[in-house]
Amino acid sequence: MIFNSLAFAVFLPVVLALYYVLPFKWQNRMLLGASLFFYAWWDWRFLGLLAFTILIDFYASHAVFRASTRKRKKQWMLLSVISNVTVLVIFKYSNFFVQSFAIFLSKLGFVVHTPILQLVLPIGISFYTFMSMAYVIDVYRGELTPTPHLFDFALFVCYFPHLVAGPILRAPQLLPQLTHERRIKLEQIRDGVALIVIGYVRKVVIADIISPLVAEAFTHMDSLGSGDLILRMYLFAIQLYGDFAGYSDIARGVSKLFGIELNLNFATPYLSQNITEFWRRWHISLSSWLRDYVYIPLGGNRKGKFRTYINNFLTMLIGGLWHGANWTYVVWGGLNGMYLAIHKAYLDISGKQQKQPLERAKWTFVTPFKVFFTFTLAAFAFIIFRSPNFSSASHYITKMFSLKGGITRIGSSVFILPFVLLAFALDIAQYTKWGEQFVARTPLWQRAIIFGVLFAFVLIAGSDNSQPFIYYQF
Amino acid sequence: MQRKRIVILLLKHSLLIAIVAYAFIVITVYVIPHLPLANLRTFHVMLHSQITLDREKEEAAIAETKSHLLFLGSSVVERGVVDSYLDSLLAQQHIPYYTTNSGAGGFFAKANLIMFRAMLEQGLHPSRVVYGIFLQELNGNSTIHNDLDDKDTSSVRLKEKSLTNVILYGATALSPLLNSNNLHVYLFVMNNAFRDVRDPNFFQRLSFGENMFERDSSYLLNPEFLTDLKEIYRLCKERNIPFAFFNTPIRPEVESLADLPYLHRLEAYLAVEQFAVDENIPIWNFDKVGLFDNKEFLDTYHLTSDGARKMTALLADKIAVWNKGITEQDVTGDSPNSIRREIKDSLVRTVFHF
Repeated sequence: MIFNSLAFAVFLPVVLALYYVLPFKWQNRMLLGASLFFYAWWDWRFLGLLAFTILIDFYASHAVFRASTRKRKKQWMLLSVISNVTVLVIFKYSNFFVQSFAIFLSKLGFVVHTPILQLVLPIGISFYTFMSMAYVIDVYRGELTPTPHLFDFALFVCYFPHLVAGPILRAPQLLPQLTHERRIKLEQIRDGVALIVIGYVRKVVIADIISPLVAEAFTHMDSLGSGDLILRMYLFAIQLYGDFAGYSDIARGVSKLFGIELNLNFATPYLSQNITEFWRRWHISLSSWLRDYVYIPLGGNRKGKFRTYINNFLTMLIGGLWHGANWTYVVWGGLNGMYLAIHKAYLDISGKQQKQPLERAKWTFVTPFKVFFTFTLAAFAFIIFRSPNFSSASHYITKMFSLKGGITRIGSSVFILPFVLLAFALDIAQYTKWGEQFVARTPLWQRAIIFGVLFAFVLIAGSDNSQPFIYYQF
Repeated sequence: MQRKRIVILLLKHSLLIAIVAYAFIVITVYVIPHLPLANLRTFHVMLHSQITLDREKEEAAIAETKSHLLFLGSSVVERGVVDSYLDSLLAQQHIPYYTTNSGAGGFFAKANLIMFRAMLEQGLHPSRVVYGIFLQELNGNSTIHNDLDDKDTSSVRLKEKSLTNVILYGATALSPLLNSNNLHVYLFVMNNAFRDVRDPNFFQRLSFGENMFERDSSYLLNPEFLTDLKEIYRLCKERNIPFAFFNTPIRPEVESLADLPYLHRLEAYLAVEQFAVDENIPIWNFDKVGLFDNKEFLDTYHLTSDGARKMTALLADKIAVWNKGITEQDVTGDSPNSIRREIKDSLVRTVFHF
């Protein structure tokens, strides 16, 4: 089930109605049942895989917790990690690895006929396996006491607002909210509704409207000028952000209606002044997951400057691979890793300090240039992310830099501008906290007018053009 | 108690937002002139239909003695036929017609059939129908399908603008205005394709765009699309509405040999011509050597305002003859002056340009 579907428009009110009627004890069970139904709506057969992950990690976490020696704990933790990675490899990466190996052998002169597994990629697999695996690692590290109730753990993994496209939540943040009786605050309803509307605007009015122009650029790039391709590089960056941040906003907003707070996943990343800041504001739950479970175990910044650069690079490489079974994602991750390493080196040489995460800097005359430069770096890397293969990406980039043809689709390029401005207006409202203040201080009827008009645009744009969320494929 | 307050607050938020959203949609639908209301997303298929229907109603209210001359076809008709100029030319010959040009960018026979059927269902009764054929007409590769692809287009229905229909179909009717590929088209249509604009400014140029032939097009003739043309004719015939074809010109010199769909050009004309001959339908060919000059084209196949006025004048002469009950057919033959020869010569001339 996707958020921008009629099925969800029926599903959510029913679940909310049941939730508000039931006592706490039954609320969680109902939420778990609803979450499984939400997932099964896509393909019920993959409930088994979900159950497998939950059972393995639930029992592994208890085994880790109860094990008397460090070695035994580690063995149980590794069992969990291996089982999760195996599930991922089988369902997401098997063909990719086999084919890559075959291509490698063919380069050496060996012809290998590789079998292709016809497997459907289970929706949300990268998100729930990472959450479930991190839970066991946290228990192993002694940062968490495992929950004694299987249903609570199952709900932690399956909770439908985050199940298929994140945010990737940590147990210390979500589990206590699930295990303790919740008291919904009136502000949560107010903020939740606002977040849901903004999320739909980002997804349906911004990302989905931009989407055909981007698709045209990547499928018919020969009929477009370099000006078109430059413009659409930026448009894809805005589309991807609208799509994913929109999902995260809806997920957070829906969750607030249940009195459960989910982490902020996007904090106005395109207003970042450098690439390090960008990655602290973009897909925050994945970035922090990679920091805690990949970068720090690799040594983080504790093993010297050069090793720090390498660790940054490797972490982003893995982050790229997490997105999909394609070398384009790996290279996209590697390119971002390179950006980060270069920026870290620059900070080391210049002696400057990187701001704390999400700290707002004072804007000066040069800030817009820095912001635009960072946005361009991110948008450029997204060309590789969006391309189906290297030859397509390289063709796009070559054509773009040829500076031939200019902008051939001036009409659509100009008329898309209001939607781009809307995207940035929403970000500025979030960055300056004006949006938050507006929601908190404005009377309901005034908010209803603003959000009502915005929602009208959602209904209009989405009436016959609902597109799945991009991150569902990961 | 707290739960009750939560539920009431959530209901208040949801209801108020929904009421404002639907009120906005309803007002917008009523405010935008000619906005077509249909059961499926169609945009300017139905936009042109609605404009034509509104015009017929207006004309019927003003002067019932005038007859309705309806033009159908793609953008070459939309750009190439100046309705008000044609009316004045016909009036000079004491032929009391008012013209509506329902030609629309990217519309081949399939889209025109939907549009025409919808107009007839809504009570339209033109006195004559003229269909302008574009050389790509029968290959089916309409450059833009105007939101019609992958849908059962036979079920498209134009709806009355009642409040119930506006609530039911309002969002769908407005949705094409938020389609990035269509954003400029509404302005284009509402301004009569800027047909009277001699020197378009930057903003008008945006609406025109620039059209070249698709380089990867195979330009194969698809008989299915001839069936749609035949169906349009059948709808006219069963209502005793006289029907005619005309063939639109292309620029004498195109920019690249790769752009030249020359084989299909003759093939398409012959297919339509055979149908016209079989049914004794007038068919007029304006794609002749020396008839139009390069500078009378906006791009490869769309006329400038001067070119459009020239073609409109040619059409006025043909319609005047047709009005006398004479069926003119520019049919191909083997004689040195035949259309087949004309088209071949035109091709040779274009190819020699390189």
